[in-house]
Amino acid sequence: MLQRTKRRYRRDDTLAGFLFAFPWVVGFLVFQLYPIIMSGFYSFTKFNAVTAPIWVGLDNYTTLFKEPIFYKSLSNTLLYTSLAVPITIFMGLLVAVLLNMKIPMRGIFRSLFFLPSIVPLVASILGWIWIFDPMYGYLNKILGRMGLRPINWLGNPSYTKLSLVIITVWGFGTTMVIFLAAIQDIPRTYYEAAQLDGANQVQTFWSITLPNIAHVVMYQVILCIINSFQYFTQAYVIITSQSGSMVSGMAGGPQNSLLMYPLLLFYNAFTQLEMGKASAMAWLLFVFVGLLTLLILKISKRWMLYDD
Amino acid sequence: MDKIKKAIPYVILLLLAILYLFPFLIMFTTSFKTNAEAFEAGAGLFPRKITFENYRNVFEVIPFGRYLGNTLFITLFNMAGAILVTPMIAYSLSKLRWRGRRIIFTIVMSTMLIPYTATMIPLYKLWVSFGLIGTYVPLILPAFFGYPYYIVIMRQFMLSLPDELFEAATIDGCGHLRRFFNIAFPLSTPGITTVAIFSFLFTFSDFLGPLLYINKQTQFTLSLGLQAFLNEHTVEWTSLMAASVMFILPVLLLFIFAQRYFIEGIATTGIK
Repeated sequence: MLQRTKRRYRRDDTLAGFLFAFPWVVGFLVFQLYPIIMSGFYSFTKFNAVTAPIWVGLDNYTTLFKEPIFYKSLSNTLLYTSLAVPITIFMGLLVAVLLNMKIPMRGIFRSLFFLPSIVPLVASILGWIWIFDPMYGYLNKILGRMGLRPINWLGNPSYTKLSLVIITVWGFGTTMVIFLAAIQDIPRTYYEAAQLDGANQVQTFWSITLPNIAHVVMYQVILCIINSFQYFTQAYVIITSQSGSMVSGMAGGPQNSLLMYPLLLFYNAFTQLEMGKASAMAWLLFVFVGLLTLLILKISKRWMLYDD
Repeated sequence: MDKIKKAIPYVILLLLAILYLFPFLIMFTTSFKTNAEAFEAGAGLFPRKITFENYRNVFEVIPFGRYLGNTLFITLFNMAGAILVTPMIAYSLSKLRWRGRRIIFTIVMSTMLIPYTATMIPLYKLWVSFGLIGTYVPLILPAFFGYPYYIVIMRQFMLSLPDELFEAATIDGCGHLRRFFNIAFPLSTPGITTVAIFSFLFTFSDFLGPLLYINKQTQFTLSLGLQAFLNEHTVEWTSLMAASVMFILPVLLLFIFAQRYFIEGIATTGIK
């Protein structure tokens, strides 16, 4: 009897399950699958969003690979990523470990470090542009007090990436909170055992904390890399503040040092109206992120609750 | 010696906290300075004489009220979409036993990280062909089809509801709709709150979406309006800082009253 009820229960659920999930199925087809396939198609065409696309084969990709500006945007993004990701991860780990200790007011500290990562990006970027101002900005005022020479943070191409990294590391809150949650999930008994064995703080970190959250750290590293390849708003707003006008076309900051990959993609699509070429860039980005996502899924299988 | 050792982490945190607060502090103090003082070489951190002129400018020079209204309009619709649709989908993927759910959840997980820049061109073309560029539809409608990130948060939450509840309800003769509306939905209030907060946060701050689809100044959101302000005028930094402070304020208030949801939401999925 019980057996039969169970079987019927199971059979009933297929229709309901599909109906409840239906909005997302439609959303996935229209807002995810369709654009991905179409952007693959457009990448083989000459296309400006108004007239019909014309098939050009691999032309967009070959032009792209010949253009110095493409490599410039790629190297900007890679350089930014190679600085921002390790520092964000390091700071996230450091603060998470410190906040895991019995420290007065640690709730307040946690909120405070978390806050920058949730404030509206445009608002905080405006603040940073003002702080980085070469003449009146506070950063240079402080450098001046210390007897150092002022730095043109957002105007000198050797410093622009560093400035972006500073802004990013300021917003490390989500990474830190995730690390902290992972550390708090480690069974207390592990630490008690280590204490009995006479391990000090550093030894405990290396032999207990880090191995137990290694998969979360890996996950965050990949996620930060993916985020770096989507870096757009901050650079776009900073460039607006400099050139005074975006109408001039492909503004990329001083010597194009702020021209990140998504920014070039955007300009190709919406100011040059070379949507075929932009789609080629979009597809390359999609494949790259796709590979990283596969990696993430592999890691998270061990971690996310795959219930059954 | 032991005391010093114990104080080290505290001191590091304190110094870092000051550094992290610094940008907020500068925005805040600049917003109360006169333009002359802000551009004075030797001026200190705090204003010599507090002025509220900048906050008046925010409403007179930058149409802050209008931008805020536009932003809230889009945000409220996005929240409504998320609240309406996310629990349904998550319910199907956590509490209903059917073959598709594993496949669908795998797709949800794998589409979660697709960069917006990778899909924006065909989507833009799609909205062009519907003649909806320059309207809020492209910024609102997708919310009614569920975002993977919210679905994952919601599903994790619903998995924690005991199955026995649903089994008991079935035995009592509750159909699917009643099990969802009378049990799953009300019991998921904390999960729904988390999703609503994330939806607020994301839409309220979004820049790229409005940049793509909005072209009339009267329709600008706060993000777009403040960015455009940089472009159009000789920049009045004091007013701009006042505008930024006011832009941050709603998020700050929400965070103070609901930070538990922020932090739990982020910790459960492990994803931004």
